[in-house]
Amino acid sequence: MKALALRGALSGLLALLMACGGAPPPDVDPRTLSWAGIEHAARGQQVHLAMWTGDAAINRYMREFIAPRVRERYDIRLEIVPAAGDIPALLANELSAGQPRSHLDVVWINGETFYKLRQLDALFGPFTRHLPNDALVDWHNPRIARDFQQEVDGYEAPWGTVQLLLITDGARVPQPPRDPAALAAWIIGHPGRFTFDTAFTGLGFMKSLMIGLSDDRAVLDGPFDEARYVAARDRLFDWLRAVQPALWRAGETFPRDVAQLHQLFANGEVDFTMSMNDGEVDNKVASGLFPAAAHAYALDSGTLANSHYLGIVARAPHKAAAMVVINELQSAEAQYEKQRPAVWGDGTVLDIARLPVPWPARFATLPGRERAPSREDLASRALAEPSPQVMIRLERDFRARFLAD
Amino acid sequence: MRASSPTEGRLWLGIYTLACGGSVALALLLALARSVGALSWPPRATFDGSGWSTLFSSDGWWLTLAYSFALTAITLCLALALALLLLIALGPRLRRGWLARALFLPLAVPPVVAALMGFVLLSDSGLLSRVSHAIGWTHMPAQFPSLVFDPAGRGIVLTHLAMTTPLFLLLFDRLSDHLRLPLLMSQATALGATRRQAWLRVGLPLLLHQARAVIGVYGLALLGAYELPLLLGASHPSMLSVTIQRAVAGYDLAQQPFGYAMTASYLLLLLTGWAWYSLRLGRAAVRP
Repeated sequence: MKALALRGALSGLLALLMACGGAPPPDVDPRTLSWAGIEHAARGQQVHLAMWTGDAAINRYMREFIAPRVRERYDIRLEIVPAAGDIPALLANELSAGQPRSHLDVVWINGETFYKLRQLDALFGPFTRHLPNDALVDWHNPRIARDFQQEVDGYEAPWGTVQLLLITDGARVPQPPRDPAALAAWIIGHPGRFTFDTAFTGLGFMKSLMIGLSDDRAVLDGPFDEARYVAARDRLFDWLRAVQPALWRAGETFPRDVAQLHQLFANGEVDFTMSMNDGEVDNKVASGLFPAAAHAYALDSGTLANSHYLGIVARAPHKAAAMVVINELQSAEAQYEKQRPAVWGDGTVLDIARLPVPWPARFATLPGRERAPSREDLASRALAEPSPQVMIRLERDFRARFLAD
Repeated sequence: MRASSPTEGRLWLGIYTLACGGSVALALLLALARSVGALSWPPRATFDGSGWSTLFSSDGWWLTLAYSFALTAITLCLALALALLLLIALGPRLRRGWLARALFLPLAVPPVVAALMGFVLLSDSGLLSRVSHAIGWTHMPAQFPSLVFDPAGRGIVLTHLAMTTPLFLLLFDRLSDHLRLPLLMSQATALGATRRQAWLRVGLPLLLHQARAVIGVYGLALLGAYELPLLLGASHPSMLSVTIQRAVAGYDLAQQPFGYAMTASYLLLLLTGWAWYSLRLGRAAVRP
């Protein structure tokens, strides 16, 4: 009873503080408008897009290609807000504080972030079918239509497709290991020259091994299953325990994120890095960060392939402008530019056959990737992302077992 | 300038106390509420004790606390020792020429920049490692002592040291002038003390006593440091702010109550320390 009274008092205090800020005007649901009406409502608005900003090439694409484009075409000012795994926590804090309007409009998400935001009821939607470019999206591709085994249901718009690849330097590792057993042997034979990060990409690597170490590629498909997860996790942890003493810094510490891992690779401290963007190796070599002999490949046992998406925050103050920005990001021009290896190298979510002339021909003649297998070659080694709970549990269990947290 | 009346003085003191104490009390109240799932989203029907049970049952929090206190104590001790040695060695030269100006430079460097400089200097492929390679001491990056991302926190300590030592050196130099330390030291030596005895019995106790509040406040800043431990620290163990931030803003929202339980504990610990220190000061003031 006392606890309830305390909670009531605190909520009252917060409500009082909120009231001092003044109530915002009621929103018009842009889904009730025509597309011309949405574009009209979007004019002069400012859109805050929360995204991971750990890659200079992606930041440059957003800053130098997308932002000027939406400003010029729709008079929308696009502001990039650095964020990543903390998006659910940020929005949960806003919701618990009773904040009537979010400070974010669009969020770059997938998998576990989408799962969390749906749990929090923090996403606006369904909205994707109101976007004109949605008709061009390859919804028949299950890796686009389903995000980490979850139905998208119109609450997030596909933006790009990727596959996890290992990156190594051909000059240092002429015969890179091709499967988990060979990788373990290589790590043990080359102490201190391999590691992985403890964030999104490293967890993707571990999930790939969880599936790759099993005989069944569909071992983690479907809803989260405790028994199947524990069996796959234990196989992974046995593999990790075997290689741990030979990892970088004897496996006592790991890079915080993939940017730090890239830095170790670029400095020659380790012989491998990895990327959740199968085209990244080309732009990192082009920008001079990676050595010229760097190349990417997938393990024969497969690596995770997934899509990434754009969602609109349920309490976004500029939903119409957010829809216009997302529609622009799905346009053939923006997707083409994004897929160019020198720009970002991110796979398109569009069904090329449905694009108007001259876009099919343009996509067909895109400069090829020089240091990564083609997407067609990678398709046979693409593994489906398991449910988001696998990643959440794996992070917790990995930290408990290997970092003694 | 008009002097304020006693009523006005009390009013301003009340406002000041409310602003300072109120903000800390509100932060503590919110952290406590969040640590049991109150004010969370989606709203909970019952309180959640998982954050506090994790805090008391797992080693993580206690290790983080011990690690943070250890790194803070090591940094403070080394910085104080280094600053005092430099004061003794350099004396009045600290106030002349380029040295006097150079001492202010580290104070203007933001922690993020200091962390990046620390990384460039101390990492396995950093400047020191390259120099060591060039003169043939090491042949590959892994042979260079691990100073960055190091579980022992050597990179954090060294970088903090580079930022803290000049501050203490400046402080001691100004205090030495204020206390007329050279005069007191010469009196001590005139009375038969050696130079070493004069420093140990007169100079150092006076300086440390006068600087204790600043040392304490700076210790708290080191204890709660975020940027340096984040950018130069190992993934495990980690310092307080990094551990709390990871729990509060990580992938796993179920870790939030634990994050807020750590926040509340840390605030309570600081408040307890402050209360103890205030009581000690009060007792010292009434002592005849």
